[in-house]
Amino acid sequence: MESTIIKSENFNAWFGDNHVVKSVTVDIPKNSLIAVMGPSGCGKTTFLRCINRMHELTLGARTEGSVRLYADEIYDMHPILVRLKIGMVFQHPNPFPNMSIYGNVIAGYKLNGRKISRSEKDDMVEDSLRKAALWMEVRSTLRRKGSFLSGGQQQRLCIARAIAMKPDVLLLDEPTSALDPISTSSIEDLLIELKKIIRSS
Amino acid sequence: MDNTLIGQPEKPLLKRRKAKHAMKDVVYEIKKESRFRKTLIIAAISLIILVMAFFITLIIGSIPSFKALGIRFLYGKTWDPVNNIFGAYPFLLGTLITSFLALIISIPFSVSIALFLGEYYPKGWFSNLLKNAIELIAAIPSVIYGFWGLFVLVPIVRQMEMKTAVLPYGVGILTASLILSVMVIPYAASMGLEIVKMTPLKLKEAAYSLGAIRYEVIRTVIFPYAKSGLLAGILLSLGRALGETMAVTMVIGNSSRIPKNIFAPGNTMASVVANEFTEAAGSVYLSALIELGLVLFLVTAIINIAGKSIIKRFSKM
Repeated sequence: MESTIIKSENFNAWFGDNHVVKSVTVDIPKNSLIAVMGPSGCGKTTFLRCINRMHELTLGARTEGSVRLYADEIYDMHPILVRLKIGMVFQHPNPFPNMSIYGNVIAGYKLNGRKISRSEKDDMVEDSLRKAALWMEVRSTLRRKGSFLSGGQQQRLCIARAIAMKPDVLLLDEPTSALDPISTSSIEDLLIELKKIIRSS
Repeated sequence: MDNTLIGQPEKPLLKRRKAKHAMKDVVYEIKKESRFRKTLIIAAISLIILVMAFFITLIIGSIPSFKALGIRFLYGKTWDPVNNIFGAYPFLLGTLITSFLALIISIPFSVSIALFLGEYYPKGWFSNLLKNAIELIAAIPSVIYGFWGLFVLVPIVRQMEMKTAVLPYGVGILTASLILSVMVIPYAASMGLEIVKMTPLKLKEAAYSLGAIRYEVIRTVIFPYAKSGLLAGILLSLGRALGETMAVTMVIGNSSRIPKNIFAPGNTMASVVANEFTEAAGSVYLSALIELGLVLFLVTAIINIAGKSIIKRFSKM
């Protein structure tokens, strides 16, 4: 049991009257890369969003059942805390257009008002960008706006932004669906690399 | 064989006739299109002509005053119709002070309302109530604001002034600014609300997924996105404040002297024009009022153009 990071039991989700996720029971082991597959509209995204409680932003969404992170029930925790521990990368790259590449990577710390020193910031930006395999491409343009990057680079920037927060779990909602084949394969390689160096699912 | 030969000429003829018919329809459609476009162009051009006509009328009307007073009109500090001395400076100052003061008072409210309705409570009975209230504020005739100001706000301000060291007029620059600030809230609020609502969901989600609280999402995602729109709304309300006449003239005190402080009575350009037009006896007096209108027109135009360039610069960032 020690090696299970996410444990969902009899989990259901609704949007209004639409029953989207029907009694999902699954154990996700630590340090593993798990893919959820299925036809479109079967509730993959909804299930993922329920794990870090992003569904609560949608009006009329409700859930039933339990999802645990280690031993803690996610639905008893504060949603902000849940999202700090469970990071997410979205279907479409969404770097903050008003921030530089550097600012985007540390955006999580800025958004939470956490003070960190200059050198810590620099280290974190380099480390996260290296893990996201983006460092070599952007190290000379860190001060430029993130929206100048290509789609694939933007998505890797979003991955760097998510892993800079050092989450226990990283949720990826079809991160390559909006990208070309080359970017897709580079992101897939990246995820396999990531699995080796950090805990993720 | 013969049969087909006899039969054949009929068919193409019929087809040709049909084709001819179709051509006619197309020609008719094209004509309709060009007629429609001409109507649009006429409407567009007549608006430009109208604005230019306004401007030219004001210029021609203010020639006698300009001949008599020259550029002194702008910085002259006395307005004395009896002795034919016309200096617009007190009113220029009054207009600018009341408008900007009203803007400063109204900005916190209009931005808060825009964020409240755009992000926190976009739906529900309370937000509907608030939206209707905003629309109503914009729809109320300004004379009613003037009445309310005269009977409610003026006594309150007077009470307040009695407790401090200033002369308790009640009417004055501050009272006019307070009334104006209420009147201009809808413009900035409703425009800001639309922009706040347009903030892309994916950016908000990105911030939320990093564990941000709502305040931080507003500060770092929505505000940078919506700032040019908010600014445009504020500019719109400034334009409204500059030109507002009725409500201002009822509570500002209508004094031609330069106001010593914001509690003192003063006057604005629009208010002077409205008040004194009927009693303008001499031709120079009348012309001076028209020139006052011209100055107001120019001030409004300049602030509009300046504001637009600021918005342009902001939205590039």
